Formats: sequence, C-alpha cells, structure tokens
Amino acid sequence: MKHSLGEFEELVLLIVGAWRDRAYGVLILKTLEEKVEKKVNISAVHVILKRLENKGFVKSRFGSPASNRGGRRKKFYVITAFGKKLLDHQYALRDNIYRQIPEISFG
Amino acid sequence: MKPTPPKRALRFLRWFCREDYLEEIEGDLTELYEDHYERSPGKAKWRFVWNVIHYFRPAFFRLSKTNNYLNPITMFRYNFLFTYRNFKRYKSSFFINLIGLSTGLASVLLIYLWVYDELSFDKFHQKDARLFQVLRNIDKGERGIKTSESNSDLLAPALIETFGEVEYVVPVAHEATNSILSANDKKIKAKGQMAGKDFFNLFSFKLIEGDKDHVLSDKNFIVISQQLAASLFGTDESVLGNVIGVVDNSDGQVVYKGNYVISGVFDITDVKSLQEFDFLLTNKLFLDKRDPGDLDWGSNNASVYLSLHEGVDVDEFNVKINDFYRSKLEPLYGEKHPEWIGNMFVQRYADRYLYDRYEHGVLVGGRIDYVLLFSTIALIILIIACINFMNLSTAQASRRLKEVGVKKIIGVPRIALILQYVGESIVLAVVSSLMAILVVFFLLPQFNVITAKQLSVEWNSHLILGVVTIVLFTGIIAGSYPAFFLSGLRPIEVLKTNLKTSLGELLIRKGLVIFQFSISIILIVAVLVVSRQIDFVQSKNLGYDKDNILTFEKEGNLVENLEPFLSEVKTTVGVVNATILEGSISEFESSTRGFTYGSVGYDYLETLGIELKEGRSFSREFGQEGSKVILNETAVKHFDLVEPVGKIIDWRGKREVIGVVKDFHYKSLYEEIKPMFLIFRPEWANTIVVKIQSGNEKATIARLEKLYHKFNPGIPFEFTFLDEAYQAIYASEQRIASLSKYFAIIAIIISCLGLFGLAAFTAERRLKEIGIRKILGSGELRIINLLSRDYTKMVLISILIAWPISYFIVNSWLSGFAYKIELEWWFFITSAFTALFIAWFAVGTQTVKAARVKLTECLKDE
Repeated sequence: MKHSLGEFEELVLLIVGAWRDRAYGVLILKTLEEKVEKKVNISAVHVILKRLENKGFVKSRFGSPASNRGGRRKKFYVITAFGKKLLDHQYALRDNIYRQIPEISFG
Repeated sequence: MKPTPPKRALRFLRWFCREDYLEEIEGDLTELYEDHYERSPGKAKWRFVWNVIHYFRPAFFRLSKTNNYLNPITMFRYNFLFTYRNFKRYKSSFFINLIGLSTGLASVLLIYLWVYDELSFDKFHQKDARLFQVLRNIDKGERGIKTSESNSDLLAPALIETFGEVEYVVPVAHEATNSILSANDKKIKAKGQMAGKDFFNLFSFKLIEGDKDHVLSDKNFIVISQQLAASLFGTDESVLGNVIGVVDNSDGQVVYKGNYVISGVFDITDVKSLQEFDFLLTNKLFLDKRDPGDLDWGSNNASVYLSLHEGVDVDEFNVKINDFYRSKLEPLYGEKHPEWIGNMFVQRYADRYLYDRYEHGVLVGGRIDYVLLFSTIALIILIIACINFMNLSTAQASRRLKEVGVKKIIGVPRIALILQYVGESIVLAVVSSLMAILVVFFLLPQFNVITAKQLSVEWNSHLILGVVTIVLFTGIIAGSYPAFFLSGLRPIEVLKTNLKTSLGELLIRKGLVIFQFSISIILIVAVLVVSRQIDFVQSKNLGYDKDNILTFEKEGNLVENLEPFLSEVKTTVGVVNATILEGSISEFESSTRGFTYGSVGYDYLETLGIELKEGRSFSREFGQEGSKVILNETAVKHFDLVEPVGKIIDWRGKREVIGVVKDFHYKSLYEEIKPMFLIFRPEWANTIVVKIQSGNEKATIARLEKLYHKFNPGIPFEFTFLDEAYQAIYASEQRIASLSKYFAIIAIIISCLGLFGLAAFTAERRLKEIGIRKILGSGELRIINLLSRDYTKMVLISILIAWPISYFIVNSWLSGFAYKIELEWWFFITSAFTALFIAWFAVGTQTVKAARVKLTECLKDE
C-alpha cells in the first residue's frame, strides 16, 4: 500500500474511528489532551482532518445547529472503509514485525 | 447572556478563511471559547485570538478567484498565439515597431559597449579601493589654480618614512617615453616609464616572469612586455637575464643609453589602464642620471602613486599629507612666493581615467562627460523607440477592442490582460534585440573606427545581464501604457460602440510625437553647429601654412648632427625648406609667467609661412642669435611697445627684440592667442619640420627616408603630416560630430517611422469620412491637407519647444572655444524645415494613398 500516515495523522484517524460517527474538532482535541496527554492547537487538528479527508480516509457531514457554538453546526467525521483498511494494514505490518522481536531480552 | 468571542479576531478569521471551512472552524473555536470562559474569561479571550492566528496559514486561505481557473501555462501559450496572430495580421505596424525598436536597441547596445569599456579602466587592481595618486593644486595667479600630477622626487621616500598609513609608494617618472631598444641587431621603438621598485606590488599589472619585489630593485634592470620580448627575441622561451640595449631616446637632454638586464616580463594586453608602457626602467636610474642639484622639494618630475593600509580615513590623510608638504616647501618659497606652495591631496587612482579635469583646483569632470552624454543619448533613443510602440499600440487599440471586451466578459482579470500586453511587447523586444545584436555585429568595426576603440562583443555575464535588463526595460516601458489603457476599458462600452478617443489619450499621443520631434530637431541643430564649427576650425587661417609639411623627431645621430642633416634635407629635391622646433607647432608647451615661448631653429618662419610684421627672422648672417627674441603682435600690445624692434627685454638675461610676427595660432582654438615669443635654441628643439613641394610627395618622402637612414641606420623613419596631426587635436570633437550625426539620423528615422505608422492608421480609420467627402466633391489636395494638418501642427509645436533648448545646448558647447562660429538664424530655420519636410514625407505617402482611394472600396461595407 503506497499510502502511509504520520504519527499524528494516525492518532487522529484512530480517534475518529474510535468515536464512530460522533467525532468533531473539539472532541478530538479533548481526547488527544486527555488520553494521549498531548498539547495541540485546534488548528492543527483541523489541518489533519482536512488532509485525511482529501486523501479519502475520512468523510464528513454537518450536524444540526448547536447553541453552545453560537448557532453553528458541528462537522462530524467518520472513518471510511479505505481509512479502516489502511489502519488494518498498518497494524498488521507492525504486529508482524513486532512478533519477530525475540522474547528474551538481555536488559 | 452568552459570552461572545472577540469580534475583531472573528472578523479577521472571516476575512482570510475559506468559506467551506469557516462554519466548522468558527463553531469549534466558539465552543472552546465558551469552555474556557467558564474557567477564566480574560484568558479565554487571548486563547481565542491565539487560536485564530494559528489558522492564518495557506491551508485555510480563501482561494483567490484567478487560481480557480487560470492555468498559467495555458494562458501563456494562448498569449503567445495571440501575439503571433497579431503580428501576422498587422504586418506593417509590426515591422514599423520591429525596425524602430531594433535600431534603437542597436544604438543602445553600441553605446553600452562603449560606456562599459570606459568604465572598466583601471578597475582591475587588487588594491583598487586603497590606491591613490598624489596631486597638487598650485596657484598660478592670473591663470588660475592649476592641478598638477607631478611631484618632487623627494616626496615618495619621505611619504613612506613619515606616514604609517602608507603601505606602498611608487614614484613614476615619465621619461624614456620615446625610446629605441635593441637586442640581436633588432631595433624597436618602445614606450617606457621609470618606476619605483614596488610598482608591481602597488598595481596589479600581470608579471609573467620575475619576482615582483625585486624586478625593479637594481638600476641595471629592465622589465619588458611580452610582445616586446617576442618581437625583440623572437622566441617563446624565457628571456630573463638577457641584455637589452637602450640605444636612444629622443628627449634630447637626459639619455638612458646603455645595456640593461631583463629582470621580468609583464603582460598588460588584456587590462585597460591609463598607464601605457612597453617597458619599465627603474626610478633609481632616473635619479642617478640627473643633475643632483635638481633634487629638492621644488622639483616636479614624478607621478606619485600610493596605497594606504586598510581602514585609513582618506580625508584625515589628506590633511596630514598637506601639512607635511607645506612644512617642507615653506622654507623654500615661504617668504618670496607663498602662493607657489599650493596644496597636496590624493585622488582615487581608479577615478583618474574618468575624472581628470580640474578647474580652479576643483574636480569638474573629464571623460565622464562623454560617458554621461552618450548614456543620455542612448536613453533618449530608446525612449523614442518605445514611444513609437506605445503610440501605435494605443492607436490600434480599437482593432483589438472586441478581443478585450470578450475576454473581460468571460471574467479575465485585469492583471492577466496587463500581463498579456506587456508580454507581447517583451516578445517584440526580444525579437528586436536579436536583430539589434546582428546589426551590432555588422556595425562594430565602423563604430570602432569612429570611437578609436577596440570593442568587441564578448558574452560575459555583465553583457548578458545588461542586454536582458535593456530588453526587459524596453518591453515593460513600451508595453505598460497600452497594457493599462486597454485593460482599463469598460467591457460594455467596448462591445457596444466604437471606442471614443478621450482627450487625455489624444494629448498623450500628441505629446509623445511632439517629444520625439523636439529631440530630432535639437539633434539636427546640434549636428549642424558641431559640423560647422569643425569645418571652421579645420579651415581657419591659423597664421601658418599647414599643408605639405611633415614632421619627425630629432633622434639618434640627428641630435649631434642636426645642422649637417638639415642642410642636406634642404638640398634634397622636392624639399622647399626645413627647420626645427620644440614640441609641436600647434601646441607650444613651454611657458613662463603668463608668456608662452617656443624654442626654434633657423628658417622657422620661412618654412611654416608665418608672416613677419616687422624686423627680421633668425638668420645665419648674424651671430649670437641665442640672445635675440621675436615677439608676436599680442606680446607687443601687452608691453605697449611703440617701436619694438631693437628694444631689450629681460628674460633669463637681456634679449634684443629682432622682429615681430603676425599672430598665429600656436595653441588649439580652445584658447585665445596670448603674448608669445620665439627664441633661437635649436638644441632644445626636438621636432624637425620639412616643407615639401606638392605633387610629388611620395618621391620626396622616399628621398628623405634614404637621407634619414644615412644618419640613423636601423631606426624606422616615422613622420606625420602636420595637417593630419592638426586634425588629431580635434579628434574628440570630430568623434562627437560624427557620432551625433549618426545618432541624429537614427532618432529621426525612428520618429518618422512612428509618424508613418500613426498616419497610416488615421488614414485607415477615416476612410469612410474621406469617401463621403469625395462624394460631396472634395478634391484630393483638400483631403491631403485635412489629414496632414494635425501632424503639421505637432511638428510646429515641437519646433517652438526645440529652438530655445537647442540654442542653449549649442551655445554652451561653443563657449568652450575661444574662436568659434556665430550662431546664425538659418541653423534653426533649416532644422525646422528639415523636420517639417521629413514629417510631411512620412505622412504624405499615407495621405496621398488615402486621398486616392476608390469610392466603391471605402463605402461598400455596412
């Protein structure tokens, strides 16, 4: 597979997948901050989301207007079959190589 | 009430952010803001602003409209296609533009080559920025302050001893400039100078063989050029250590006869320098050979060059060196003639070539004047050529209105239209520059003859950069006006009606034509005046006869055997008379307190045909001619002498006046005739002058050469005709005359081309009007008159503008001459009529064609 993901891209894609169809900018940001303990700017999340969408790994739709957003709609992201396949492939590859590490280690 | 995010930041976000992202980003930001607001309102505000700033990156930028559908490559391809079709469709205006621009560019390129060559003199020295020449301002009373480059022989050693700032000092004595060198029985005339030992350390002249610290360290050393080595020894092998004999030099007084050992060989063929020399002897030798009594602070024999250490302030150094110099000279002149001391200062050596004219001790110019003059001419010619292009393209705008209109309607942005038209003119400029380069190759030899240079087209980075700059400049200037004019039109008007020419546009177009013709008229006046003045100078009765006179140096054995040689010359068949004089007949150099004097031999007046007013000439019949003088009329007036002959004047001893000559021009016509006297002193004179009969010059010269070789075997007989030498004095004027003639012709041709194109265009546009007029019974003459009236008016206006300007210019040029032509009214009338007739001719062909048009042809449409 010729597509590959950067570390941060992979993280965001994972989070989008984990939240099924409820993932949107702020939620992803908060997840990153809590679970991964990573400080990022919201704009960085948006950049990644747009990139993933352009590559066809995620797709998006608008939700209904929300009052806590000044009446603006949320934009929800969902992982595509293609994105899922990429993740599977990436993990299978890593798993495969990981298994080749000898179990006995001489620490 | 909900907190609202900072408005300004939000407005900023909306300004730059792409619309399809905006809602999502705004929403997320607001949500975060409200989140933070609960914790700390102040911080939330800042974080919101901070976040907005983070979005300010290309990924979120609103896409500019052009980017949406403008593919630059396609655009340029189509623009090229349009350009090509346009050229093909309007061939005449294309060729007018092409010819105009390429002639203009060719002139500019030629001038560029010349200017570049002038600017590159003495720029190759490594120490360039620290290299200076020592100069002095000396107050000469009535004759003003003179700036001199010669200094005392004591100066150079004193400078290096006294001033820590000085790195190297090199004195150069301009002796042995006219020497004959010999080796292996070969004799060659060569130009030398006598330089201090650090010459090659100071200047970066290339030393091929020899060590630069030592080549001039011994007074028996000689350093020669590679060409001299090749022609004297005829081998490519090293000539170091070989012996060269200096057989003679013709300075007459100090002779550096003797054998010298070659200590080095230099090659200066590929550098341009003010200093020209074939060999160098040592300054030590010069000091050695001269009278030791001359070695004082009052002497002035050496040009002194020096380099300063890095970081030395030149102004401070100037003050120091002047104080030092004055302290040395005050004991000498301080009491009697404090004004003789003068002031010492240094000038950048690299500037000496372009800036060498001092007036009253202040630098006023030099060759830089010509550089500026010709650069201006180049610029003017280029502008005239650009004006043609601008005029024709705006005039033809109506032809392309539909194209512009359609393009604008489908939404082509203005910048793309501007690019298209500028691109078009750049394409034209590139094509013209290729033609221009061809023209330059053809004309360069001729141009070299006129400018007395050896220019060649060498494709180095400078030239390429220059050409590219000129081409781009031309393209952008020429294309800018039509580009902005056409692209600014409103599409509805353009497509609905024909373009109404606005008053402003008409004014600009007319103004440009008027500008072109003013320049042309000024150039015509300049050419008339300059060539008349040159004629005047050439044909003016100088008070002596310069035809059929040849001159050559007194050198070799002639120095000792002058009288026998002269008497043999006189008896040679075909020779009328012969004499000897100091320097040159048309440039007396010796002067003493406002007087000029010439050292001459017997038969001076007779040979040159100078009229004697009273008294007698120097003659062999009387003894002791050395203590007699002959005055000129001006000198008699100056002394208020009533009966001058027989009076005694005191100049380096008592001298009897034996005659008075009519005033003759012993200097160039730049200067007035001043008091002058002749003294009899053939031993100081160095130029032999022979008057020969006309009609059989060749045979006579052959006889003279034979006689010359009897006295000077092996030395080439080199002579010049006096009338040719006289013309050479005015070489730079003639150069300006011929160059300005050519450039005037070029400017006029280009202007006419423009007018021709405009006339053709107007005639075409008014074809219907002409047809209707003819149907109503208008004659051809009236139509011709109708069409050319406008142009006549424009030329008349340019005449009115050009007259005062040209008067001012030629008047200031003529003021440089003491003897000059009067400015006559017919110069100006002639220039005006020339311009008018040329304009009529250019317009006439078109108007006659239009007036003769067949009615059916012009009225059949619509």
